[in-house]
Amino acid sequence: MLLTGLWVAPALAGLLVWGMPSRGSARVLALALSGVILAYAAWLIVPYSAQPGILRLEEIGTAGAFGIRYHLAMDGIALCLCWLTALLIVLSLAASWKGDVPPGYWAAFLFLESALMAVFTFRDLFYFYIFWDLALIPMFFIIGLWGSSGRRKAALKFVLYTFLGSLSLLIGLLALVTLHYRATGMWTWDMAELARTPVAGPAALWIYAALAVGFAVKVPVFPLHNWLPEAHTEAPAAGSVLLAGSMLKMGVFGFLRVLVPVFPELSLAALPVLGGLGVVNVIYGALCAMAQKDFKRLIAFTSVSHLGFCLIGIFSLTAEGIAGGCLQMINHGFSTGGLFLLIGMMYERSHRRGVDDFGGLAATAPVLSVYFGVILLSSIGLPGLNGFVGEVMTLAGMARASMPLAVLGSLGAVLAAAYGLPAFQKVFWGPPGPDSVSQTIGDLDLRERAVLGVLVAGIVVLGVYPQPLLRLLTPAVEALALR
Amino acid sequence: MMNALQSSGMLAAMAPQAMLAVALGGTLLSGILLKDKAAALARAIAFAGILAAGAALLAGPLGPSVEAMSRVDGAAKAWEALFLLAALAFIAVGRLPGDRSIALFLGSLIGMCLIAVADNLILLFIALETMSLPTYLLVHGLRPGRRSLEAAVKYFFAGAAASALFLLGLAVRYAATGSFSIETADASAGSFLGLALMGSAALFKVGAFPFMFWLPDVYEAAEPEFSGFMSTAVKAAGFLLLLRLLEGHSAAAAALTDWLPALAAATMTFGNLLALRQKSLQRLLAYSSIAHVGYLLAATWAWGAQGGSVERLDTLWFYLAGYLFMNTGAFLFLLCTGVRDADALRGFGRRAPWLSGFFILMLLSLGGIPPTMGFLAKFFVIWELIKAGGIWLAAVFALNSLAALGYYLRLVRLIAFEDTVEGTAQAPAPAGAGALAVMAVCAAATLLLGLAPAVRDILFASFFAG
Repeated sequence: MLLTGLWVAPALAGLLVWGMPSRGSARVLALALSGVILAYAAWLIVPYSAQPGILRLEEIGTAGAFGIRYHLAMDGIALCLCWLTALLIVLSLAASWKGDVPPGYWAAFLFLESALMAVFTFRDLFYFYIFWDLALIPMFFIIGLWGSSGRRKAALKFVLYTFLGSLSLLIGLLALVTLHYRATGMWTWDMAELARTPVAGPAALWIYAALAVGFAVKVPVFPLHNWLPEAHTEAPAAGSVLLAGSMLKMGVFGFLRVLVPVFPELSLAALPVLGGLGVVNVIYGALCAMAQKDFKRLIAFTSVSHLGFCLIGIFSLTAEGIAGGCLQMINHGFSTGGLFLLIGMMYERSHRRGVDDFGGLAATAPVLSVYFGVILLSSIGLPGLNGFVGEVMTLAGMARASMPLAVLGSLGAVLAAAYGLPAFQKVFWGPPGPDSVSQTIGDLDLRERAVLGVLVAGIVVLGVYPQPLLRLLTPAVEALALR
Repeated sequence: MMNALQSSGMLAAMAPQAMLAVALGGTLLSGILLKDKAAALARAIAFAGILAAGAALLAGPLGPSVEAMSRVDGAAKAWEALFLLAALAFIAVGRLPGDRSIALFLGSLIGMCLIAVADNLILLFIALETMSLPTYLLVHGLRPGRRSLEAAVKYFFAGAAASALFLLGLAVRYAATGSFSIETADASAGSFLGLALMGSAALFKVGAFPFMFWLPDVYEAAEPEFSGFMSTAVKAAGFLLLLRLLEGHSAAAAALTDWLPALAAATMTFGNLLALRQKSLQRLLAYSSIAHVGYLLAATWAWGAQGGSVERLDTLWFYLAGYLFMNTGAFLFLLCTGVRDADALRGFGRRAPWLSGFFILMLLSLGGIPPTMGFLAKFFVIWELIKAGGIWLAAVFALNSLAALGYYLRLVRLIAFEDTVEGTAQAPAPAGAGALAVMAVCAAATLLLGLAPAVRDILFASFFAG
């Protein structure tokens, strides 16, 4: 029942918050309950450590019609992503504290949390798919109701574009399950069962492609990334945090959870394509980020770049590469989540988000500048901070699989400095322009310092001492490594 | 003695239809006795009659009845249950103006229930006519006016063409095989032509490409709750007609089945492309119902290609059941709010949050978003398509679902995200208790039946248990 609680509790909390009579009480309750859920997720490490094996805390129901079966389990990768999600929910709700929003806003985040937890822990592909799709709906309303001026179009584009990926995924999954039935005479949606019977032949390639497209839209992998900039830019700050911090990880997680275990040979063969696209993501995302005038859009494109590293790590199919890819998912949640929160705080004060709208902020808002600096340096991969560890591990893994791709990928680290540092210099030390609003920006208050402090602490700790997290990831990662 | 036995067997086979006929007589009688005050009593009689028919249906025996030219199988029961449920909802909404329209409605319902059990082409034709004729009158009768008159006439001519096709097909088939039995079909050209003509009549009734031109006008001009009834119950009956013709998978049926993928793809694409551009909500739902016919035709092909046995009709039945709940709900929203135009939905979420939430749920279900019944229905159809090897049709289906989600979400956007424009604001019309109760059932079914994929098999198998 431990894992059932992990996805049911946020849903119930959401319903409870939604039913609150006043905005104030909904806000307090939402933050309190999300805190409880975070504490619960953190506590899960205790029963988790007490069990042996890769999959722990398993809950298996009996197989019903068509082999669909309630099956939850936790491994190191899922545990890290659940922690990340629970933490980001708390932080983004705390960051939305001052926004005068109805109970539905807080509830939507809790519903989203429920769907994400379910995606990360279900081992039955039917339920996996249901919650995969379901996660779209709260985000659709978060963007459409509480986003900025272009929110309506962005919300629709976000859902329709990612639904295209979902449909590709659905067809791939159904074909996979049907083929498995023809080979074994048994209906099953269980990931482990499906992985046990390799699918071969030309059909396997099509299924692999359909599933890969489904996951790639979510990551997003170039050229299926078009929905991302608009959705991230128009969403409210807290929505962008969850979108980048947790929802994109669903795609990477899908690659790890479904594609690699079920199709090991094809995944090895896919190195030039999917590993190559990872490199394209890294470089293309960085180049696009360089050209952005809107701060939020800039950060959105850095997501494309960072998730390219995840892809590079995973499709190197080496233990260090996959571990680095997983670490990079967590790191990206911290750094990009932090940057979106910071932009949100600046926007709350000035109602601007253009890079040129600010200047000389270091003088007027020193604390904000320090936080911004640390998080940005983490994002561009400075040694000593968390981003560096993940990137180096993915590239080291890739170097064992394909040296040219590793070399090209490492270009991304240089480009990251090229998009990050000039923007930072302009905003914090540059001369305030004629339209600059920097003079009116007050510094961070205690609540904001606390929210960002948590992230900065995580960034520093993971940067100098990532070993505990890596140890947690190791069993699951080594089971996936093929090279 | 012999006669008494025969008539009792006949009565057992036709008990639900007999109950409805008694109710029909009762409503007419109440009209004669009470004159203008008869509507409430007639409604109560109809309600009781439908409930009694439902009870008789569930308790009734399975098997053929030679005297009644009928055969009650699990599919017949399953479909009759749908018809009765739809009719119950329609009566519960309670806006039929008088005893005569209620009697007409019951007549149509008897026709549907006859289609379900008919085991003979002559009876099938009579059932088709019994179902159809009252609907033409009700399109105009429930909402008198020029537009509905025009629509009713259009509907009548389309229906007459369908009947003519059916009759012609029946004659050709009889000439080729010398039998009126549904099952007797050989590989001869006459047998195929007869089946094709009768199949076309069924396609006319459901509004499949290229026989769908009448449908948007009719659904737009009729009262919303009657459009809801036509799009769910009458369509389900039309599909059952088609399925009965294809059932058993004779050579002629197999040849006809081969045409279905193309028809399905054309129908869903046509419906969705035109729905994308509609401003009138009833018209939009009409085109969307054409798209759903396309999905159902795809499912029909997958069913036929995998043997076409009655026991495997669960996917189609579940889709029709899901569609019954969600489309009835969507049309009832239009009825309760008086909104006819998409633009009038702007800012509706602020003015009436509960009704809006209900409509959004129906739209998400129509669009196939989990965990609704609409998702599960589509999920099963795509699965059947893949099992039958129709991967390209599954891809067309998926792309169509995406286009459809586009216009359903456009409505959600108007309701939830847009602000009210001055002058278009419209307070929701007070909804009747009956309509609200039906809407609550629709919402509950759409959500709860979407959560449990096993329910489909349990329900459907229960109709075969006898």
